[in-house]
Amino acid sequence: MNMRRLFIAALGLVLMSGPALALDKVTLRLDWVFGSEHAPIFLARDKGFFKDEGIDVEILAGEGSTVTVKLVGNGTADFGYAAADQALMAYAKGLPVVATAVILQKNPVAVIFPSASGIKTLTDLYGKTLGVPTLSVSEKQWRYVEKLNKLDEAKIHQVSLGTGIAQMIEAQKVDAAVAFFFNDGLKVVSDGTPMGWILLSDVGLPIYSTSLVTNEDMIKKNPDLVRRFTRAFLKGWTYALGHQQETLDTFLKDNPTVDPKYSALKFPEVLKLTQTPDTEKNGIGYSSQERWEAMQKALLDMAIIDKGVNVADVFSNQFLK
Amino acid sequence: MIARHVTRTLGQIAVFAAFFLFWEILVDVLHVKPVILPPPSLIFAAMVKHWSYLLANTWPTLFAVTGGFAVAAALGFVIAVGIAYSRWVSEMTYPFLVAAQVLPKVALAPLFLIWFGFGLTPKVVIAALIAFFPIVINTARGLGSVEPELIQYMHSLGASWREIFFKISLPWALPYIFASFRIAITLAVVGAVVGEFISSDNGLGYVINYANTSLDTDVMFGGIFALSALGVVLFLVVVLVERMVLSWQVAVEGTPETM
Amino acid sequence: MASVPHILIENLTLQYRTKHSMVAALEDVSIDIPPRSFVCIVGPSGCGKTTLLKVLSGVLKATRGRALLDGIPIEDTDLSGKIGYIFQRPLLLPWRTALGNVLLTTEIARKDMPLKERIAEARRWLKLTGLDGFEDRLPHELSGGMQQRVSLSRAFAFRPPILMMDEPFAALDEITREAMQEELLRLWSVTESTVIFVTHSISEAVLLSERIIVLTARPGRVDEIIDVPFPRPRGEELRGNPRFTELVQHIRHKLRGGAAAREAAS
Repeated sequence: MNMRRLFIAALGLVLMSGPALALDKVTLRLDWVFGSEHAPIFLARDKGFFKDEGIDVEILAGEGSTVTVKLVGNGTADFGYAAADQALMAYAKGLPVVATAVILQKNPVAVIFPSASGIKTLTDLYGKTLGVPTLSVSEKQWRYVEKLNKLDEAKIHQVSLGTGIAQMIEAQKVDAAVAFFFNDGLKVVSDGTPMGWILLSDVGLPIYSTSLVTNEDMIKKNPDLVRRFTRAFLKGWTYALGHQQETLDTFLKDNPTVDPKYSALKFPEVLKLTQTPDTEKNGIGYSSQERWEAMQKALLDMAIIDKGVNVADVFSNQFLK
Repeated sequence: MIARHVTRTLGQIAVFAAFFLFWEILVDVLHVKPVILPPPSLIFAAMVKHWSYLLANTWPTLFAVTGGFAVAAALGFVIAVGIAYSRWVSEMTYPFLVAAQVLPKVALAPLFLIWFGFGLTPKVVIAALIAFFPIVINTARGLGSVEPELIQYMHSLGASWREIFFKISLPWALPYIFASFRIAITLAVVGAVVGEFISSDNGLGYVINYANTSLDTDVMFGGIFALSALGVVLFLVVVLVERMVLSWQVAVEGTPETM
Repeated sequence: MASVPHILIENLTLQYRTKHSMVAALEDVSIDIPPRSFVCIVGPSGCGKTTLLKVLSGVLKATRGRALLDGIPIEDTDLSGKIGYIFQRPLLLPWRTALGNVLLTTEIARKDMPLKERIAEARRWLKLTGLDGFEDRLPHELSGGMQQRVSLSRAFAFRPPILMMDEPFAALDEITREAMQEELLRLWSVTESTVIFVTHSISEAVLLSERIIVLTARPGRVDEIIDVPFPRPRGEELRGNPRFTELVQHIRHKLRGGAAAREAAS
């Protein structure tokens, strides 16, 4: 009879601890279709970093940072991976999006061109045809860079591009284009043409790029979950920096339809963007009030937003540890 | 008669007004953030504020639509004549036409840019591609619907094919052709906008897309409303022309305005 | 107007292929149609009446036997502009006025006529068919009977030597029908065309024609050729004539009897 009581007690304990073992189910909406730039995120999931923090994450592909910040701001997605300037824009328009970790410290929008073109500086674009994606924020960023660098717009033959930037360059319909260097640029390289690029961030654009974002309400209601998620997320990136091949291989295994050559070219370049003197000192994902202010000023100058906000509301470093 | 027109138009306006009112109340009650879905009041305000911007971008879309429609009509007509009068042509081209119709033009977008360059041409091409199918189908049907006894009669009178075509078949087919024009003009609007989405720095499609990426949702909807208005106006133009050309048909239908 | 030919049909057979076999629509049909005569073809449905018209107008070719116009085989004759049609349905062009519709035939078949003359002629025929004042009406503004009268005018207007009518009054109500029959006789008396008139109605055939060709059910063979003795001009009063009724009954009996006999034999 003693044994029986013990058995029932043990059973009871196990049953009661059941709920405690339940994981927090959350969604993470990325900025674009799955690419090797997201490899550290897949790694974090596959290596159990999220599970260790009691989180069951569903990773969803995205259709651009603009959509992702809308989804996160509306509460439809719990977390998002989207550009910091989009987060700031969203906040200025009433969507309470907050960045808890800035992963890509430099905006990857660049002027890309075949290496053979001999273009070295922006003024080398004079007399050439430049494809500009007129249907995205990148176009405004380019105009800003033109202004900052006092470029004579009339001297560059600019045409509007939407999709198919890589094809246009390969077909030699444009001499250069404003694009994400690690997407369209490296795609062309992967197809066999060496490319060069000038990052807009290197010619005066103070824009942070893709970051982990969430909703202000989520932070208010469940700061612990945000902390745990951010921690697991960053762990993936830190691990990736030290185990690049393993991370890339994991990603390719999870996404067998992706072009491996192109992915392999992209991955190291993306990782480079995560490292700055700031992050070396303060850890990956760190962002400074100063840079956020500069970014807001740029957005105001670009007339992307017409009213400033308190940038301290839009980002936070408190979840980095 | 005038009174009837007026009450009809007022009724149509009332439907729109009710729709906008419902929308206005709904977003308020559901606490929808304006940047996700703005209420009509904000949209109209944005339209008023940016009216010259919207107007300036209406012209390029208008040109693309009318250009695309014209090409679709011409091309569609020629193909339809082939289909109506040659069984061989009909059997050979039909599967191809259907395939072309179903194909998502967006997928061909980069190719279009490479082949047709930038500017108005790719928009016109896409608009024409999307709009021409109903024209072909209906025109062929109209041409084929002529009473065969009448055709035989004309033949026996010694009429040339040209006489039969222009005196009998073509006028006979006009109601069908105009019916397809109504559909095609709306499709041409869609096509032109698709073209603008793919690549453009002007036009209402551009306005919509640009406002979308800038999270200016009120301007985006302003562009959408302007586009809808453009579509409605063009549709009415087609109906008006139809009424003039087919005045006899109008009389048959009794009520003057059957849309 | 071109001269009215003597139409001779000799042992005409028309067969066509269906999915399963060869079907004969007409078999060994021989008919003599003198110029300027009014001939009716009567018979049950599917007996090949319309097929016969199509052979005579050159649309279909005989499988065996032949049709001759003034001794020349039909396939060697240029029939264009020589045959006027009136169908069961008016088949007017809905976008043309009554006048415009009547003008159509002369527009195509009488191009040598100047426009003024063609219009005058069209008006004349419209008047003759009692449509004076309705020239500028569109077809949908006219009743069925009036539309059929426009169709009549259209056929008569270019003075064809041969007129073929395929149950033209079948869709009309009885009163309109009788009026149209009398009108037709009046119009025909002004012209000199041969009329080949297909009908289901025995009384109509007896009223209108001087020769009735009775065809059997498919395959259509000539069952009997009846000459109608009543003198012309014929009018409404003929319907009341007992000899008229007698003849109609006689023909009706023959058709019924023939059908019964065939049924008994099968």
